[in-house]
Amino acid sequence: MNDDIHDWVMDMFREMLANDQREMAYKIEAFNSAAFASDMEAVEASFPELLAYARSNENAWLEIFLRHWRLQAYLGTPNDPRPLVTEALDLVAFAHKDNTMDCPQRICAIDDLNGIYGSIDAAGYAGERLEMLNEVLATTPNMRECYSCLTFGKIGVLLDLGRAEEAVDVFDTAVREAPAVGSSVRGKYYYRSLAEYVARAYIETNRTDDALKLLAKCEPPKPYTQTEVDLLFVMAYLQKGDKKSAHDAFQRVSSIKEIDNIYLKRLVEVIPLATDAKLIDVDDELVQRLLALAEGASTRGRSGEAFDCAHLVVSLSRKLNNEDAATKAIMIMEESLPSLNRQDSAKKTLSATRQTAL
Amino acid sequence: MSTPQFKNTSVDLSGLLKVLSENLYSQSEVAIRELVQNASDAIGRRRLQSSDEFSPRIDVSIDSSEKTLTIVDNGSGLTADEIEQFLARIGSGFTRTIKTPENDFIGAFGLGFLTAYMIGKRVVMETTSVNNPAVGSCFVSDNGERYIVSQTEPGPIGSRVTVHMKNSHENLSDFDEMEGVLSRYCRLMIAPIHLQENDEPINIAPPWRVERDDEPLIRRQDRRKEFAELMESRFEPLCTIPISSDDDNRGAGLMWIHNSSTFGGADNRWMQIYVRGMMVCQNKHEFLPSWAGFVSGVYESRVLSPTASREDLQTDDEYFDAQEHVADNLIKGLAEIARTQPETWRTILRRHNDALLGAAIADPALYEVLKDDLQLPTTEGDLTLEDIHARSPNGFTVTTHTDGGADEVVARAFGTPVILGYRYGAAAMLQRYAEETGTDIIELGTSEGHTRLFPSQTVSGETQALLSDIFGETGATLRYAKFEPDYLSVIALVDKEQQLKAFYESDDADRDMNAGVLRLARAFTKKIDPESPVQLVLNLGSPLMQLLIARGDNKAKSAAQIMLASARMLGTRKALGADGFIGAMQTFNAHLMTLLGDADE
Repeated sequence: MNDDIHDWVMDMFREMLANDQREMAYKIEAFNSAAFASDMEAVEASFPELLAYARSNENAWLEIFLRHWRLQAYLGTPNDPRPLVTEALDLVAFAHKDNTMDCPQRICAIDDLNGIYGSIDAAGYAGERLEMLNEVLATTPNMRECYSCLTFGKIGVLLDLGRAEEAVDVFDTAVREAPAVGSSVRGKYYYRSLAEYVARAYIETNRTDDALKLLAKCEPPKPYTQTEVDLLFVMAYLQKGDKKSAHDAFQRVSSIKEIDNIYLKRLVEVIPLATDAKLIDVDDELVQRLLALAEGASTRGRSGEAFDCAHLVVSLSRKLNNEDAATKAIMIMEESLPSLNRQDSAKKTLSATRQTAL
Repeated sequence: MSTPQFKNTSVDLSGLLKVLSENLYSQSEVAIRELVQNASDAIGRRRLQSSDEFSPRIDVSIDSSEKTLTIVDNGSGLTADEIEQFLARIGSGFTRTIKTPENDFIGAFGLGFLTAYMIGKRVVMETTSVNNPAVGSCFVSDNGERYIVSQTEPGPIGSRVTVHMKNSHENLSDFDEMEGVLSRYCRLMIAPIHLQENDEPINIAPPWRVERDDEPLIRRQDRRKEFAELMESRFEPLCTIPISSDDDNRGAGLMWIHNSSTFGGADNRWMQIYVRGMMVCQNKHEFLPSWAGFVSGVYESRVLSPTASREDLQTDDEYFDAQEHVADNLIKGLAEIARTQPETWRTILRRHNDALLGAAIADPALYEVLKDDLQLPTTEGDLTLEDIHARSPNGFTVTTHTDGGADEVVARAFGTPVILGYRYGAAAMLQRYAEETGTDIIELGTSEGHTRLFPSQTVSGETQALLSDIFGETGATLRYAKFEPDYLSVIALVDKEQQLKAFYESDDADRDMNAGVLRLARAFTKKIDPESPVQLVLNLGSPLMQLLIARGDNKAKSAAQIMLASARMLGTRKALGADGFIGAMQTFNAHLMTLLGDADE
């Protein structure tokens, strides 16, 4: 049995070439590259054909590989994650059939589900996500690559639950005990996860120097992820009291105007710190920009981010006495509420926000 | 405490030379390119510095018995002072001091001459400057660390560089080897380069330098094709697309479409980049758009900046501008071929239809060019989107499954072409076209698709009760509809969401699935109204159904079971699995036998 799905795919690729199935082999290779780059046009162009190929050959492993990477490609875009739920659940069910029990990517289907619910309402679904990941990690050998993937996922969930100390412990233990995690930390592939989860956990636990060291080593595999890294730099430098470096890092963030919804969660954390440190002025332009981002997130089904961003807009609007912006932001919070899993806390937040803002 | 003082850093010259010669360049043959480029720049300098008339010429010769390489040019030459200033000082290139966007100088770093020491143990330069033609100078250096400059009798204006080859690079004194290196790197240089005093220079004039607007188009096309055939080594060029611009700062070149069939997503891009006539990148395929897997080309620029090794390009603003320039020309070129060369265009579509589908999805401008001509695979054969549109009055019908169910039968019965969405690029291209034309898409095998194909009918409670009695306990949800063709009286469909609900809420899932997954899954499935995953759509417009309703007796019940079994076999074979299929077959047979038995009686 092959423990590594990528090795397995490469073996299949070579076998297909040897069996004169060159065209389909190259299409699978191109699909893989496109999915990794979240090039959805290329992914959607080839996915149906490859899936039909996998099904007609009753190649369940290939089917899981294709469906998993399509979901991952989609999750790398700022698009609406809600339509993915049916497909992700169907994939998990498919991946738990008898003929797929040995497929190493069976576990990855669960990580897809984690990613989708994390995109819809990260904090709201954190409990279920943690339970799900804990169960899978308990039965996954730690030398597998997917163990490190799930570990980073778990660190992210712990952060969503506000359990940063635990997140750092999980990371330290995993690096110490799991060879796959150790090698992944060194590999470029996981740097985005590192930047997003581990550095964030270090900042939360006041291990600022460790966070800065980690961020300095980050070589994001895709240019756009540099923004994520820079936002974390801002947080770390401000925590360290190095306002000059924080300012420089904030300048590197391409421009709040161009920032994408994909960084919204981090941006919502950074903006209050940046305004307190006077790295950016609280003005109508900033409020309108954040309002637009909140609207965008709401339209794209990223209800948790939309709710939190709109909440921030309300607090900034109060400083400017901008009642119009506050009203619009509260409407976004109301629209997002039904899709949130953290109903009780969100209702309380909304009610308190209404009282103070209007 | 003493005051800190600035001190000069020192250079370990032999170490530096070793690093430059062994690490800056990936192959020793680039030394030839660098020396020829120096000669070419010298010719440019002579044009700039002097008004005398001369015919530029570079001669490259090798002496395999003496193991020498000699490069002679009739450029500006160097004075003794210039030798000291530029040749003997690393990083102090003469050309850089006078290089402008308007001239054709290539050098910039003052490192090129050093490459001579990669391949030579001794380098000799005899030179007479156009600025002082009465005096000649001779520079001699072994391994580049020490040198002698002496005054000599003047020669013809220009320079003669002789490299005494190291034993390790004797292969470069082979004629074929040298011809290959010169062809590879220098054949687009402007100054004629002669090998072993051959009358014919090795250079070729690329079409973009010689084409005139008043030439017949056919002549220009032939010349371009000839050039493409010369440059291409893997694919036969089918047709060419020039890269041109009114802006002198933008490059020029030629692209060609491969005359071999490709598949969607195939990437056979190949692009050679020249900067002012010198080849810098043997294959910079990413210079072409990612969708252009069926295109090769040559691009020459005056403004792109090579890296120090001149084996790659700096990715600066000019680089991105040039990339955009190439993509624009490619799209315009394809549009031009579609408009003016119908036969060639048909061949391109035949050869690269799938690849172009992917390309059209990726690039909105290209989509505009291609949307009327590309063909999509359908149940009626390959058809253009326009044809499919004309034959699909109720919207486009698409299937993403190879095992078509009953809904595909219905779509076929209407004579509507069903687009095979499981073929490369078809579904994505259709999506874009449907958005543009405001046409609905009916996706077979989905709840939305079923609702469109089988419009619901209101049925009285009495008829509902009668039909429930006739069809008995089906384990399925009955739906009432009216649709054509009327010979289909019952359709069995599978509802994906209901299927998921049934699975995740089952005891099997409790046993097999992760509890966290189940919590998330059930949070989703509890929002779905419970129905059977299988839906039976009864066609009230069918004469057979009307007959069943009219009779309402045991025979009608037996006939209903036969109809159900056949519908299940037709529509839900995959979903039923082997056991379910066998069960449906057995039911079909048993009720048919009952009917036949009744007939005997």
